Amino acid sequence: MRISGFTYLMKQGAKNIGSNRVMSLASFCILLVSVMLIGFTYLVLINVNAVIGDVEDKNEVIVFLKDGLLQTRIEVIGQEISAVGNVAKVTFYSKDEGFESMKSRIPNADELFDYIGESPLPDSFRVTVADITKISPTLMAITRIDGVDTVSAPNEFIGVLTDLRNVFTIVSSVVMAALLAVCIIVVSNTARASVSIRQREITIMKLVGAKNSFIRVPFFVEGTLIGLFAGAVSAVITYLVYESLSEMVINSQMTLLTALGVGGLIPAASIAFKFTAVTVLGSALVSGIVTAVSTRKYLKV
Amino acid sequence: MVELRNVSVRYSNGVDALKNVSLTINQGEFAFVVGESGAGKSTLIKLLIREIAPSSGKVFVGGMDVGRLKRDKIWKLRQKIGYVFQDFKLIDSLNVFDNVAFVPRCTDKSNKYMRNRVPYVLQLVGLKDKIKCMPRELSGGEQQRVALARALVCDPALIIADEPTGNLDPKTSMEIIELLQAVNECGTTVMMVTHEHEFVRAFGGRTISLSDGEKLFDEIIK
Repeated sequence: MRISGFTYLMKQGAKNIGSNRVMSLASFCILLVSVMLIGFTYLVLINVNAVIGDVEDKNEVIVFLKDGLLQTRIEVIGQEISAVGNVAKVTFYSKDEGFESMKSRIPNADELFDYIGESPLPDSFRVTVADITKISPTLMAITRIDGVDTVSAPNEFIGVLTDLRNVFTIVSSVVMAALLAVCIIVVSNTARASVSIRQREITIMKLVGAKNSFIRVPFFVEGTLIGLFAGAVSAVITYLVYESLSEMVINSQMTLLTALGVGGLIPAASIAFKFTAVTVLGSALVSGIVTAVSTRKYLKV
Repeated sequence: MVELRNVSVRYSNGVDALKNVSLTINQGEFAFVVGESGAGKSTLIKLLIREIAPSSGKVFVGGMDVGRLKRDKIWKLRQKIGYVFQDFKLIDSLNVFDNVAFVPRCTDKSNKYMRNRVPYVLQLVGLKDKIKCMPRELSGGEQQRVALARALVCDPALIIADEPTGNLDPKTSMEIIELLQAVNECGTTVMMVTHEHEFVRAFGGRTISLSDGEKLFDEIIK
């Protein structure tokens, strides 16, 4: 195709938006709402995942060692734990450090601790696992190391968190897919209505020898431009709402989140570029393709 | 240029629109196709522009086997044909120039071609001074002239005029037929479909008559 022909089709696509103002506005509004809903669902999903991830990261496995081990053996055990797959960090706590830590956490019990005298706790390692969902095989491997007495891990809590994350991921993915399907169906119907208004024009084009691509390209351009605008406006609105929500969460010092050690929502600035790019391009592409495909029925002349 | 070999068309409702019709229109010929409503004239046109395929027989236009043409290649056939419609079929939102330039645009001709060719064909049909008018600002005759200019603009080998005088007064109808004859004298094959026998008698020439889907006669009327 010549450049002049390509430019003409682009211009026609842009012109069509003005010529079909009502239908263009309807497509724009439908896309705007759909893309915003999908965007918000996605933001909720990544934040819930981040919260669960934060909580998971704070979980440590405590590996208690048998009494009477030599320092050299303890060091070897530390190396063996580090060598186990899925272990991110290993820190040694001597029995005295453990006892001091206990004392600091239980105030007004000096008499009791004086009575106990020497630390009754064993030496231990605090182990952070890389992937909490694979904790069971990791614990089994650590338990098998010679010199390890017991391993203490919040298995049930981790299980609940993992299940929660999985369920939430599935639910939100289904919701996003459903919203996308609704968006495609509604945009397709609006586009079909818009195309049917120009059925006569399409028939004339076909009868004088226009290729299907010549007829489709302006519709694709029209749909893409509407999608681009809708995606951009939706990204801006979503960003502003999300930023206000972030500030509200930080200012309100939500007790559950702070108790879990979570600072707040993922900062808007850190996801703004990727989110905007995906929203705008996704919306433009879906709208463009759906609009172009909607012409299919009318091209059979 | 146009050849039908034992062509029959049966629609899905069981109606036989054409029954074993054979005819040939040679390059450079002017032929009238006449017949009453339901004679099969529209079906004949639909066959030639591949809106429908024959139920049996062969249809050739410019050497192309129309019946075997795939749907995505129909544009190749239609770009060889200049089509004049009874109801003009101009695009209301485009001015005269753009309506005519529409065909070269569809067929990926250059801007230079359009700038030279469109005013030229509009001059041929006597509408050069109406180049910027919108279709609604033109009379029926003028609109049909624009449609004729559009059919001519890419210099097609064949012009099919489907009842081009159907919506026009007798004087304007005569002018349109004269224009078609002038086009034919330049070497373009013209097939004009009409139910108005008086024009055929007035102008004479090769006349193919259809009746109830069959070829009634094919002769030169003087």
